[in-house]
Amino acid sequence: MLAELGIITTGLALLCAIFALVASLFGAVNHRERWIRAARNAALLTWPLLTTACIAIVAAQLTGEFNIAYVYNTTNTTEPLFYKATALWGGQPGSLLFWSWMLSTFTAAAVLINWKRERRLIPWVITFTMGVLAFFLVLNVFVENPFARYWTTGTGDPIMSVLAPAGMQLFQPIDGKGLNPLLRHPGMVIHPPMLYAGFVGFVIPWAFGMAALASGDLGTNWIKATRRWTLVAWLFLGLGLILGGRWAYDVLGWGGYWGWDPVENSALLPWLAGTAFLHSVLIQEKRGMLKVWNLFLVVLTFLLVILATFNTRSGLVDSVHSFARSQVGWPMFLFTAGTVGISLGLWVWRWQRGELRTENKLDGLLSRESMFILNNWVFLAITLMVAWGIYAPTFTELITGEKITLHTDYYRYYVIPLFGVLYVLMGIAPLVAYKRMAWKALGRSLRVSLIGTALFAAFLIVVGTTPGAVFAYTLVMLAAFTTVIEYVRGTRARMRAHGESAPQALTMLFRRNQRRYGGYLIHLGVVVIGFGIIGSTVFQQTTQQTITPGQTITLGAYTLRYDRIYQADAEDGRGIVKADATVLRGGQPVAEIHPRKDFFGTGGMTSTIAGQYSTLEADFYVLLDNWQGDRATFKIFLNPLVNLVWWGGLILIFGTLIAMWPRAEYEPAVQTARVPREAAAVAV
Amino acid sequence: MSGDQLLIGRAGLKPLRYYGLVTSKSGTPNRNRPVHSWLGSSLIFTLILILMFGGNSARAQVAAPTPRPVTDDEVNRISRALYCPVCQNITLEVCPTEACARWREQVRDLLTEGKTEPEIRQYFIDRFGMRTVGLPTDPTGQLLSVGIPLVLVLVVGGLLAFNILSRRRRGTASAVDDGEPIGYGDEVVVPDDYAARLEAQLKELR
Amino acid sequence: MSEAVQPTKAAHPWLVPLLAVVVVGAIIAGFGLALNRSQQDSIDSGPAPDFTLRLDSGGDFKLSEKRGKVVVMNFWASWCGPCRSEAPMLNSLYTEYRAKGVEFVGVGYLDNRNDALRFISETNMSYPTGNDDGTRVSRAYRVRQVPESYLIDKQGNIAMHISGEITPANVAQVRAALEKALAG
Repeated sequence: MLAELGIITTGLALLCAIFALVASLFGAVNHRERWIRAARNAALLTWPLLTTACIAIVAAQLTGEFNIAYVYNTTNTTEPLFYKATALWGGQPGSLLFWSWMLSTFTAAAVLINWKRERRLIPWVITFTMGVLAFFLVLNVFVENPFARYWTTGTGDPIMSVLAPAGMQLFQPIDGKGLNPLLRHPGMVIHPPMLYAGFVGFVIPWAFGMAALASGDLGTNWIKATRRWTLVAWLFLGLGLILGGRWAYDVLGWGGYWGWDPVENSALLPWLAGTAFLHSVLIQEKRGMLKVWNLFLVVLTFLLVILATFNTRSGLVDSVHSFARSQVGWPMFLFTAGTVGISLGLWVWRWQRGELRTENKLDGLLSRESMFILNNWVFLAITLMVAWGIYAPTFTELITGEKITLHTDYYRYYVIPLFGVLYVLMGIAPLVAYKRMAWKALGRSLRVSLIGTALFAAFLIVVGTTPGAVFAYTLVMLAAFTTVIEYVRGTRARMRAHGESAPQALTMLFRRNQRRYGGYLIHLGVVVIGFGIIGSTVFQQTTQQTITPGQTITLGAYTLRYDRIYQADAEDGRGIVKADATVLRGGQPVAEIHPRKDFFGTGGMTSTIAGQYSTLEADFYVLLDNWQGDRATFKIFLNPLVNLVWWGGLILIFGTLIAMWPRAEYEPAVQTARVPREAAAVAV
Repeated sequence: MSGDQLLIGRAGLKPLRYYGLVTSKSGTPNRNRPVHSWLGSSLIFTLILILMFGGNSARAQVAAPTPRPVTDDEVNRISRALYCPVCQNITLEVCPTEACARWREQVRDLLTEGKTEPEIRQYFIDRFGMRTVGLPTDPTGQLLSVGIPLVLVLVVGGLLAFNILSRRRRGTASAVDDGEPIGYGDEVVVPDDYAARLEAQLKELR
Repeated sequence: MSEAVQPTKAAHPWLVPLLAVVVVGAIIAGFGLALNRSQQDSIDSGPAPDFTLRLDSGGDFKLSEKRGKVVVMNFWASWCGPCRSEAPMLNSLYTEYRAKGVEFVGVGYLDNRNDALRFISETNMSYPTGNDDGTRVSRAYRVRQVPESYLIDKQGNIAMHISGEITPANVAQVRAALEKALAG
């Protein structure tokens, strides 16, 4: 029953999406209100249909309907409820359905919110969002259907099919395979939804951008309508990335949180383009410039989202994150090629017609506008270098036949320095005036920041650290100083102008300038993350030793004392080997940790869970590598400042919430003014 | 769970079942130096040169004929810069498969024989291909992997800069050039002399 | 803001679209090729990719020089259990067909030098073998696991691809294929 419900609702949703696509296109081109209305209704209808489909599959997973292939592959009877409920995105078909549902939700929200306000854009918005939704539903219905079931003739192996084959009965396996053990972690519950919300969230700004290109409404309407969407999508994507890192740090057992894996990088690409876009639209709102850039950036962000999902699902690049091999490769390729063609085609078309020009040109070489352009360029450079790192091995093999690896060294030397440039920009650009600024004036503004930074650098040199670290920390600190100084100046200006106390002034600063000061808070979050990354990468220490109970290993200021090791079986059938150990600092015990290894089934899959002692200062991170009897081999990492990465992420969330929080729209104050006769006579 | 037979399936590379059959030969504590340091932009150029030419340079080595004890940390340090020939983008140090365990043992054997790190890397490149190192050491590979994107970035950046600068408005006196940024949003932090000028202009209108 | 702008046409209206089409088209085509390649499975028929293998016993084995002869290639590794099990079978096949002019060659896949040498001596590998340096040969044949065996006929085409171990169960097929190749 659940499967039939699912098949029917997804099929109907596909029909609605196709109808909405065609109707809105027709209505937009020919200005037919009724067609547009019909398209809107069809688009909205996809939401209850897809919600029902999702509920159907989740219900099937919770109740153990193992004749549905997807349920069989992602759940089993011993799996905790927690993971059964989130198995919706545990495999390719379900995650595609989840994508579609999310897109339908976001589209419904965007359409309903903007229906009255953006009459010129909305028809096209429906066209483009429904186009994307239709494609994903085609995948969901015809290629990777989560409601395919097992059928058998009674003899022979069961086959998988959506519709009942002639003369076959439903086959009901007794138990399922269960979720991949490596995915059984709270990270699995939150990381994919965050990431998908980020990816799908960027479809809306793209659709509005495309609507702007298609309709000719090339001003700031499309940007204003999607301002919060972009921020929210950006936040979710950023969080998805940070959470992914945290999850990897917790369970993958190599002491790090970012592996420059192709799929990780693929998710980073739209975040980079999206950040550039976020910043660049400010200039269009302020001065009407950079239209070409903004439309290009929103198109690029969307294309990178599609590329990311293509990479993950098609098997084009080898990665630990890839889904199992499936048929979606070529359909996704065609869809990607098609969207590239249409998006870039529209953009070039408008550019050729000169409609993306503005009368405001760049004034000064040193100006806020030029800083933003430089910002765009640096982000694009990073995007190109990271994308190159992902694809160069594949393409090199095509050309030369030789397979190469581009990994840590490549990113360390060619990508990280560009991030350093971004920190410098963060430290300088907020102080640069619009239109034009004299270099001397910038020097004056920067004075306090530079002095503070120089003092900090001197402090580091005195304390004693490597030159590279001094340089890196100093760059990040410059950004910190500038941001803090902006707050100080703003607060003092308010105190002077309104006579408020310092805390009052600061609060009002946030209230009256949400975007700006929320944005600065985000910058502070990025600064904190920067410190965390530098500390945990540059100053990471590691050692691996084999000891017996009672012996110790010392790393940095910490000592590990190995107490005992034992084996057990968990209730879900896992075999566990766990070590008890005590962490000592300065001779005093500070924590008990339990590094362990989990063994799943006969497939030999192992999960290595670290024992961690975490403080702001450092993470003392211990892995149980191997053992023989009670001789155990421990691999220990000392990651200084790594927790700043996660705390920085929290600051980032907070800043974004402030920046995007809905405000009461103020009524414009209306007052009739009397114009003096003399002034009226002056020709303006 | 007692000592089990290593299941070396026909599927090739299975994760090693650590049922006490693999031991590491180490024991001496090792004080570590920090792993890699960040390099400022001036040092990056030096590094590019070293990368391009240093990877292949044969270092004068003093042959150590007698085997020496090798710590896990040394093996890991070298393995960290090598990559599993089968799985993509996973360092030899962390790769859990049995084959990788063997290759780490190979690194240990080579170290025991007295080989230096460049020699060990070269052994892996010769035997298993260029994919075992994180950046290609041959000129073609370097060109394709590093040269082209850098050139692209510089060329496109240069074109953009030229385009933007050439279309710049020249010689206009702009309103604000004393360093005080215009605030955006509702609050406008108005610089004092701008306010004074505004007042003066308004006075003129009256 | 500044919407009322007189649109001005670009100097060379065809340049940017052309550039866009060429560059983007090339990128898309590249992706298509890469996707195609990534989806290809093993080679089961058609011309056998040529290769040159440095043999442990000295000298080179170049496949194209063996045109006119039947060749049996076996990919193996010391860490592979089934390779060890099929070794006696391969040795006996070699003894049997060597006299009839069939060439056997072993290709060591992702193996350490000492481990490989030990394997060869332990299994008494009687036919020539060499290490696949840089995994060139295994990539050409899209070998991703071992053991894999290929039977190449006198015209240089793949007559049979045995994915996995040669066992008493399938050795009859192998023999039949060998006889057929020798005849043809």
